[in-house]
Amino acid sequence: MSLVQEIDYGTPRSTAEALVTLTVDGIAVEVPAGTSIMRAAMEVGTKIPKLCSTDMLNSFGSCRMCLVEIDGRPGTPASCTTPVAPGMVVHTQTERLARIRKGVMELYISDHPLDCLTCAANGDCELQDVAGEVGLREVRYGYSGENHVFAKSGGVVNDNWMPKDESNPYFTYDPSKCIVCSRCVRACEEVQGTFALTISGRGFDSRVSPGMSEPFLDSECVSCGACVQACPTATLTEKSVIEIGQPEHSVVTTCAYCGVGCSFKAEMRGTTVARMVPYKDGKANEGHSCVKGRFAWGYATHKDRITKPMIRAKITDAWREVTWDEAINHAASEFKRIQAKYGRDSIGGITSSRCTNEETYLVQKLVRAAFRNNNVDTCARVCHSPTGYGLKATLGTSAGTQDFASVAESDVIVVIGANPTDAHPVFASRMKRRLREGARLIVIDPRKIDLVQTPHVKADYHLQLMPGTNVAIINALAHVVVTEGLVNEAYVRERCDLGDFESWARFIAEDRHSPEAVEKITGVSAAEVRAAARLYATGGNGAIYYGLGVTEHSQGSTMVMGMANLAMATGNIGKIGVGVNPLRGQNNVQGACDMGSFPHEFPGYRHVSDDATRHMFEALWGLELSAEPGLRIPNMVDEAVGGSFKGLYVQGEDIAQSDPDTQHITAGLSAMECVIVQDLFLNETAKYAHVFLPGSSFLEKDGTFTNAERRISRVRKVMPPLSGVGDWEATVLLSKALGYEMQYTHPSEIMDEIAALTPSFAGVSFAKIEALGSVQWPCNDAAPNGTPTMHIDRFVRGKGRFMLTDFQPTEERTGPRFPLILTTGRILSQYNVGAQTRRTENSTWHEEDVLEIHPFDAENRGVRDGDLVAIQSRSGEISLRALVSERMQPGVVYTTFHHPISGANVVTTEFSDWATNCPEYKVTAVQVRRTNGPSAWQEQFVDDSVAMRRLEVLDAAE
Amino acid sequence: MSEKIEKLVRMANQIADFFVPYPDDEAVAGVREHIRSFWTPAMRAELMAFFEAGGVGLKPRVATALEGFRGGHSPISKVPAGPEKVGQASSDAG
Repeated sequence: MSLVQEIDYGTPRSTAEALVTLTVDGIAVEVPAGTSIMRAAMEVGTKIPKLCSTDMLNSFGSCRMCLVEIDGRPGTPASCTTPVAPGMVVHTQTERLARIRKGVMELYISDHPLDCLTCAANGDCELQDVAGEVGLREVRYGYSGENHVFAKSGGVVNDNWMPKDESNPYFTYDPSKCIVCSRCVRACEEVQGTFALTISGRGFDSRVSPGMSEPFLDSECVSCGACVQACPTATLTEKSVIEIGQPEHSVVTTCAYCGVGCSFKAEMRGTTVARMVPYKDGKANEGHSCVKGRFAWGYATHKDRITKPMIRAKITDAWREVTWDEAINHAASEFKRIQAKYGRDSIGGITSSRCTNEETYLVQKLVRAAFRNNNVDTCARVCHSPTGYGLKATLGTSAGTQDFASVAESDVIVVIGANPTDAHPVFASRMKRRLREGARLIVIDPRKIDLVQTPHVKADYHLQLMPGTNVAIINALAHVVVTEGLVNEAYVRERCDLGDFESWARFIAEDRHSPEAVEKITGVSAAEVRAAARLYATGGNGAIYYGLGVTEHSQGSTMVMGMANLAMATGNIGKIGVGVNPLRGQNNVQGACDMGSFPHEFPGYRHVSDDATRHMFEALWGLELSAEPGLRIPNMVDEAVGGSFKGLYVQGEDIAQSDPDTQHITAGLSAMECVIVQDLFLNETAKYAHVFLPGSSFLEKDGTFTNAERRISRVRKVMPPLSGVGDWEATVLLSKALGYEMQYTHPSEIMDEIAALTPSFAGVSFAKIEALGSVQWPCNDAAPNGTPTMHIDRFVRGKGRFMLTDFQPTEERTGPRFPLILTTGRILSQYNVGAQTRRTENSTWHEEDVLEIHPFDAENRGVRDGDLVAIQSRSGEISLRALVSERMQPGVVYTTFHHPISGANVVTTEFSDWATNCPEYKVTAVQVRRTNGPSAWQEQFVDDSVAMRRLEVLDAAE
Repeated sequence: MSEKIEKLVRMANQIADFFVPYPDDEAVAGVREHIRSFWTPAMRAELMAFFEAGGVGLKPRVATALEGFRGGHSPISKVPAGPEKVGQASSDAG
């Protein structure tokens, strides 16, 4: 194995269609118009020396290394900034060029330390490479002059010298090694879009400056790593590389954090990760990353990892380490006992959105074939289940309509109930790039999220609605479109069911849906709503991107339908630049849904009662399957509390922390007789478990993840499973012990079975993914290379279907006792329940969950910034520190759920979406008051965390 | 009313709420199909028992929908596989 080398073409690819032919060093080359000479040369394998250019960034022309000579033109133009022209004759190496380059390089090196042997970039330094390329043999100027290199010159303190900035936990900034090429500054602007870096000073005083010349950690830097990646020297270097050294081989794999599904090179020394570097050929991220995927992978080898199976009779007992055999046999015999005593339906399983498609497929197969029921569900239940329901009803397929690249052709971007800069940062960077190019932006969110106003981006409209009134707003927008004659009639006539459209148009045109009529409910000015609707309907390509702020409501499914209605009415589905796009939470939540993780569906979204589908599975699996829908997660918990559900196999989920109304969940778990948890860590759910099977991280497995754009990408093993047994192998063992054998020797065979049984995956195989890099389903005979854009020409369901979306307010109401609405969300540095990110340095940015509260509400309650406050709802009470913030509107408070001790879900209620039981995390009526200590639940939590996680102490004395 | 049946009643009523703007026949069919597609037989049976015992608190369209489950009819109807043939409440895949 060796390092995966990516060619740096120096400047970005030109998208022009016209081709230009020129000659580089006597070789004819044909490239798109607008290509730089540097890139054209690289196309034929000629690398022109360069320092300030890289193909992730626009050309800049500052380093004076990439000069060329062109016949008929005077001087020595920079090849990075000079576009090709027809018939051009270019010389990349002449005596004159060599002399100039050497001279420039000599100047660079005269102000650069010569500690190459002990430098962290040794082996990966472009400055060193270029010095070699230009044949630099001596530096005539010496080092006694003015410089940035030495702390002291001639015994005197050197004012030009700056110490290393090691404030960021993941990388260092060593100004003495900086050549001021501005690549980091431009990466921060062009790739990430944060504008945290600049060059301060002029001439010899020029410095890379985070914020107002602050330490990196105190600046606006979001630690995405783009600057570190762009740096051609050791000025910005990963601390892991400083510690471990340069990697010797690398493997392309897929990030295991959010639903963007970034492609990374895991750069390794042996089985040790030296660093993760975003992969330019990865279509989801195209070489960009965020602080989680780029840096927060240390959890994979954290000391808290449990690597041996454990069992215990009661959840109050200490855990006892056992062999895999003993654990599996114990689990199987318990499940058999429970089914014999309480019936076939008394056990179930939860598949993981963090595991691979292959692993998820096996867990649902285990439930259906070995448990012999359909009691299987997944965490999509609590996030995007309404997306599936709503999009399937209207468009015919339950997934996003576009690929991520589509946003580059959007003219009006609507962000609803999503916070992409925190939760889907790499996609947010793409979106911000398009917004800087002039696309318009409408944000519909109760909070003033960063996108509303961020450097060089400002929302045209921020409809700051009250939580729980999404449907009222979407109806009001549609009302304006219909009543102001903005419907794309030709599109609707051709593409949609006209009868349904007409009843919908009559319904939505009713006065009660007008912006003026709903102003009181939503809190948004009617004029703003009207203006936003006009912009979306008439502004060109309109694209809707949404998150859990849409789905996690009592009317989540209705809202999804409402957005699809609006997009159909304006003709904004079925081409590049438009669409209705869910931003998925977890890395493989799309895949988990595709793989049949729901209790009523086989893989490929086919109902269990459909005879043809079921017979196909029965024939291949060799047994009869249940035609009845099984229990959803909340139903499982209800039945457990009721006493009829007794056993649960949970792979890689933490329902005791992530699911709403914690005390109800833990009551359900406590009532079960056998809970099997398979995870990396003893998570919250494991406190209620009887069998613990050690899980493996994404670095330890082969398989595939499917991201929010339906893109199936490979996950590749870079180290063996710490427990010796991969997640999929554990499921196979459990199935065998239960009497149902599964025969696989490699995860690729599982994908082959999925392809054989699932029409939308028919063309998918590990070999296909290997050849294409990744593939977006549907992938079959009709679309052998996959489907980037859905619903072109016709909807998957045939005609697009308008649904009537009446606004039915939630039963959760504010009142004198609970006057505020609590809404929950995420933050950039932490991920979901935090089991991974809390075990990394990411906690530097967010070490506890806080309650964001508007100054008005805070003032009323005598709450000051940093005060401990009690948050009380009808379900429970917790204490958090207050953060007084004008991001909130009066009447609405906000927190995150990344830390178990916070117990955010102790407060949330059991209300849920009408169609899918997706919990209403986003609307909880609460009261907030000052307090002086943790809540009773939190105190109990601390005690339980110790008591319920005890490991049996072996006789140390003997 | 036990906590569990209370929840089932709320769930059923919520489904009916979605269908409020639809005419009676479509709404009743919608509620019935939804419950049939997504609830386990045990959950359906429990709600049926509650309905047969008076069903206080069930919205009228839920009650009408449940009447369709009564008698000798199989409560199971087949849902066709092709998405173009699937009814409005066929899937909650997410």
